[in-house]
Amino acid sequence: MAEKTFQLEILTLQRLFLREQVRFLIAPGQEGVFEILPGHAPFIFALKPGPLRIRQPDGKDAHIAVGGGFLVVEAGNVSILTRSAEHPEEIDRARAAKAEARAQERLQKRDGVDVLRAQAALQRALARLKVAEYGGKGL
Amino acid sequence: MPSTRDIRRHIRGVKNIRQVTKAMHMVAAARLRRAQAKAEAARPYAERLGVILRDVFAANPATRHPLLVQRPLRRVGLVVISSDRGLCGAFNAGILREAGRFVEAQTADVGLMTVGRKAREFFQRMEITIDQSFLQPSRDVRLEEVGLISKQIINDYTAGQYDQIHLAYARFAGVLKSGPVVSQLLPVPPPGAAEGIVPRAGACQFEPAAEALLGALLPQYVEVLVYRALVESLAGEQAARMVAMKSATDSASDMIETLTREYNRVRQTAITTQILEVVSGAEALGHEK
Repeated sequence: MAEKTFQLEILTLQRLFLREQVRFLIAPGQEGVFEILPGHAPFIFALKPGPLRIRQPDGKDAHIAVGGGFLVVEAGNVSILTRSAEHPEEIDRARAAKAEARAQERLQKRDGVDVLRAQAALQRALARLKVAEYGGKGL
Repeated sequence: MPSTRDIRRHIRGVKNIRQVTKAMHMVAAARLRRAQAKAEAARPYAERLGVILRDVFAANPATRHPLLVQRPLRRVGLVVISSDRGLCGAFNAGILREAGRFVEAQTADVGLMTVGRKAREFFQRMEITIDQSFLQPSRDVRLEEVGLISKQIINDYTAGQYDQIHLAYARFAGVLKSGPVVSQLLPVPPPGAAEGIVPRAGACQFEPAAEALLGALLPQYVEVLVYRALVESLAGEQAARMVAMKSATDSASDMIETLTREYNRVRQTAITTQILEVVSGAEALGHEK
């Protein structure tokens, strides 16, 4: 028997990033990582920048780096609204590594730095690096 | 009467101008298409975010979130979105006129912020103080550029520098709904109230709780509103430039036609005079015989 799936849609301001059927997904919630299976009740989550893992109908996993945003479960389908979404192959690892180093440095100095902003930048950089790594392995 | 050489030179000049305006017309047309596609692409995201905001708000209507609460008006902020570059007809004049009308209608003090060089230069010329001015974002309207502007606006608002913030920009949504408008940005108008939509009570759960979720949603929503205003202004600017350059090209063509006619007439007159001279000269010689 084919496994149950639901539709996942990822929207950014620039484009419809993705629309496909998935078996389940694991998303980086602001209050912790959570999983969504088919038949989930209506829910709105706030996301933080991090890796999003998707189990595709063929049983393979895909990873996507999302830059925070919101995840909505509605009528059994899931939409993610995010400022940025990237497939592993789209990620510039060197740039992400540089961004991580810069954010770490800022957080260490702590003087006159917008701490929240630096933290967000750090999270985004780490999410990208993680996704680039997973994606490369074809986990 | 101008000589044929003067007219020829004039025609050449006008032709050169026509070439430039024609090229600008085509560039504007291409950029308009791109800006339009951008505005189009942002719509589903913006609408969905609006719906989420409405649902979260409906579940928590008593919220006192600072970006939603009406404050007594002491000072109103107006962000005037213009273009950096000219040669786009009455585009900037239209926005500035709309902004002026808004300022006159206000009873409270108005503080001005500008986006784009044209608005800044206008207010400086009028010796009107500007609280803050931003450059017009690049043509791709990158999210970082928009984020900077919207973050600054939100900060100023929460710091109490303004009790209400409006955007004056060129709306661009089809032929009928385009043109300069002023619309309220902050406090965010209570979502759903305008559409008269009945909230689906208790239909949805939230994580984090509604109040905290609103805190995350509202700045994003404001950013999207600013983004849309900037993208639509860009499209409006390109559309205005396209029209202006089209009419400039047409005028140049008309002018070339008129000048060519005059050139032919002057040339004909010159030839006639010369023939007359030759003939009368020959006749004079013939009589002498």
